[in-house]
Amino acid sequence: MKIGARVLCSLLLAAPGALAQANLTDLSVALYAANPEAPAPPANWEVYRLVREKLGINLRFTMLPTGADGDNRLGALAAANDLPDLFEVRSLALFDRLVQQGQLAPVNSLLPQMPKRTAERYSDARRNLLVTTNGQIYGLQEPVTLSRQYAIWVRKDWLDKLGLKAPTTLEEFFEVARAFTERDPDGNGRNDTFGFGGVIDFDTAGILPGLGLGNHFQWVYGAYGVAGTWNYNPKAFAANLRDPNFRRATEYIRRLVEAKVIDPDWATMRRADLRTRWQQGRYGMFFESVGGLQAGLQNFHANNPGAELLMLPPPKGPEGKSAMGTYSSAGWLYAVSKRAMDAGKGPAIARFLEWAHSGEGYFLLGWGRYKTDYTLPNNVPTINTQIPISVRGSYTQMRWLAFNGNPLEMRGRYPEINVGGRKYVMHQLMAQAQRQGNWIDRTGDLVVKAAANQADIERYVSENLVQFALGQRPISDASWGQFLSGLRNVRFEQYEEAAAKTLRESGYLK
Amino acid sequence: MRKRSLSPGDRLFEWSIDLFLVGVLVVTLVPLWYVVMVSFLPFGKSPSLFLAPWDWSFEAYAQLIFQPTIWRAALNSLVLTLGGVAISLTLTVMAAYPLSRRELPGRNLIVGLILFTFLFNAGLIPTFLVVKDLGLLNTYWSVLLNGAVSVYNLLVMKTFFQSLPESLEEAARIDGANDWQVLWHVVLPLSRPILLTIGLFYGVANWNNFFEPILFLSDRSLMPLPVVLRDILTGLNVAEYVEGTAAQAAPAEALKMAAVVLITLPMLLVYPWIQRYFTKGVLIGSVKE
Repeated sequence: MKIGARVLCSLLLAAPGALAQANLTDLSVALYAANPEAPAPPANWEVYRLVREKLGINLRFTMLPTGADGDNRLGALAAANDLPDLFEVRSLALFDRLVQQGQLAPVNSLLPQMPKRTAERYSDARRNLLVTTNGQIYGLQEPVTLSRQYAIWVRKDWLDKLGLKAPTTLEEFFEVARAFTERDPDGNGRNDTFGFGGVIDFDTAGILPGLGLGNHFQWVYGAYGVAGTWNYNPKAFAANLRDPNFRRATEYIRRLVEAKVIDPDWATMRRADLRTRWQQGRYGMFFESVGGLQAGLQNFHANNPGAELLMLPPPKGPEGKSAMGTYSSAGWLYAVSKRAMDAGKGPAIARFLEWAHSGEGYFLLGWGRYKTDYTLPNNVPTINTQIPISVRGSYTQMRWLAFNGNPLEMRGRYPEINVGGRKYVMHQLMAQAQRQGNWIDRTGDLVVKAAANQADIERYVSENLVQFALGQRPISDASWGQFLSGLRNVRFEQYEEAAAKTLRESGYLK
Repeated sequence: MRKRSLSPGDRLFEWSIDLFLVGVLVVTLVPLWYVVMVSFLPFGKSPSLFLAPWDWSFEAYAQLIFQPTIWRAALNSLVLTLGGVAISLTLTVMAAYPLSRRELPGRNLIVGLILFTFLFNAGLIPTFLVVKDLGLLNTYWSVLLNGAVSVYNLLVMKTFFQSLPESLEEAARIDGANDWQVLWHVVLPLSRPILLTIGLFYGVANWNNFFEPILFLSDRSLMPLPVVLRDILTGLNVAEYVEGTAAQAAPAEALKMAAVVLITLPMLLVYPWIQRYFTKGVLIGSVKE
């Protein structure tokens, strides 16, 4: 009898919980790790509890493997009709494929259900065109918040020591680079410094590398007015590489390489190697982001006492043109699986995203645990750096869903840093890099679908330009003509025609 | 034993062979030496083949070893490796032994079907679908069972079993042993070289397994060492928008090479214990008399 009463009591006590459980919507969310060094959030993460109690959502968060492995995993999940309800896509080719396969749901109906988020993130009709097919918006295309944070940095202490001025033109850049290479600016008596450090890098958030040598050399092409892949000239639309100035820019890079003022490993190094080397003090000038600079300042000043860095505006070319590069205004991209929408999970997804956009959700996802991972002096989120990112980062693995680039956020993420007797106000440097870089908006590039042989096209152009720059092939009328005529072999004309048609249809080329 | 006196020509020939082998040794060792040296590289020094002892820095190792995720990942790798070797060896022996017996009906057909899978792979998506339909996604079983039997290893082991004298088996059968008893008491005790060799093959493959865990596992706490090390190194490249401590504490080159050393070391430590069986096992298994 006693046992029976106990069972009855426990059933009665459990009933409201069971009912609440029944009303919960299961929501699987898969994102790329925001903090690769840190593990996933723990099972007792406050966010899981709050989302369950306040939004009626049983959240299940998984992290996608980085890079192409993440694409492979999403592709496999799609084939198994097992895509997460809400997930991040970093490859536009994969996104297009999922749309074609009918795996994604249009998100038009979600937008009015999350009014604040939509107003601030998804209301740009031009940007939404990037993810629109047959009039339906298939992705939640975020605006970019950290684009255009790249610049050429110069060692001001070396300039002063050698009695030089910061270069403003390509010719001055060449002379300064030569002096940094040949006149022992670090005074160690060894010939171990280089004028410029950059690498072939196509994979940088928010920057469009164009065809050829990647982001770190776009400023040279910008100085000749041919930065980016396309010229966007409505009367004579073509790839920039057909422009005679494209050859002149490549010849300039060849001059830098020939004069040995660029680190000779530039063609094979990775971005991480470049970072190590500028921190070691091997370069007088180098291409780096504000975020990358922030991460390396401590080491840089420890290795180079008395050093001072200055941000250079992009050097001007012979006709006075300059641009640090091209960029897209499109940031992270999220998609909703058709399966989730068919199961009626749309309202729950909108509820969760709206919650993540501001207030409690924004701070919990973006900054972690209040008074543990961060504090809010003067309303500026300030990270507690006493807790290592490998621990703190677990609680902000979903931060990209929350971050929106507001001024206070930028001040929190890019604070004032005092190191080596120098003061760096990182958010101001970020704004300066965006302002003075003369960046060219080429968001339209993203509506151009990749050619079936895109990898062949990119390889052909890149390999040829590397050969020209390294001097493995002399740059002459004959060899350049041969390079241009060889474009036919990779069906480049068709790619150009398709790009022109798509850009005109989408309104990016008028 | 007196050493046979060699003519000057023979001596020259032997010296050239020695010289050649020393050259091969150097060519093999230099990259490994470079990896080890660079893993101790401090900030401010360029990678080189020789690092002064007072320049050595253990920071790259410290950064990797003291990551909170690394020990859990090492445990996962150990489970996947030991479990994988046990499962794979058991299944391979149980398939290779019957296939090595001539009296097995349809033996050639079965071997042919197995060979077919060696030549034609099912592909990523069908494999994923099978794993999913078996309900194995996000469990160790998805990694342990998928590709548990390597056709190459199976054929090597089958050939080894075929090379064992049939008379031993016949003697056991006369004493009343059944198939299981023959396998357990006669065949396996004689097969230590091949078991250790194939076990090492499976062990190395499981220890290095990278693709299957990221495909089949979604829970980060189940990920093995190669995946976690790769994630840490990923942070080196994305400092634009990702915060990381490892890249700020040690040079990128040192971190990469330290990761290579850490992932290679356990297998290098096991290898000498198995080495003496290694050549014997593979060679015996590869020749059918």
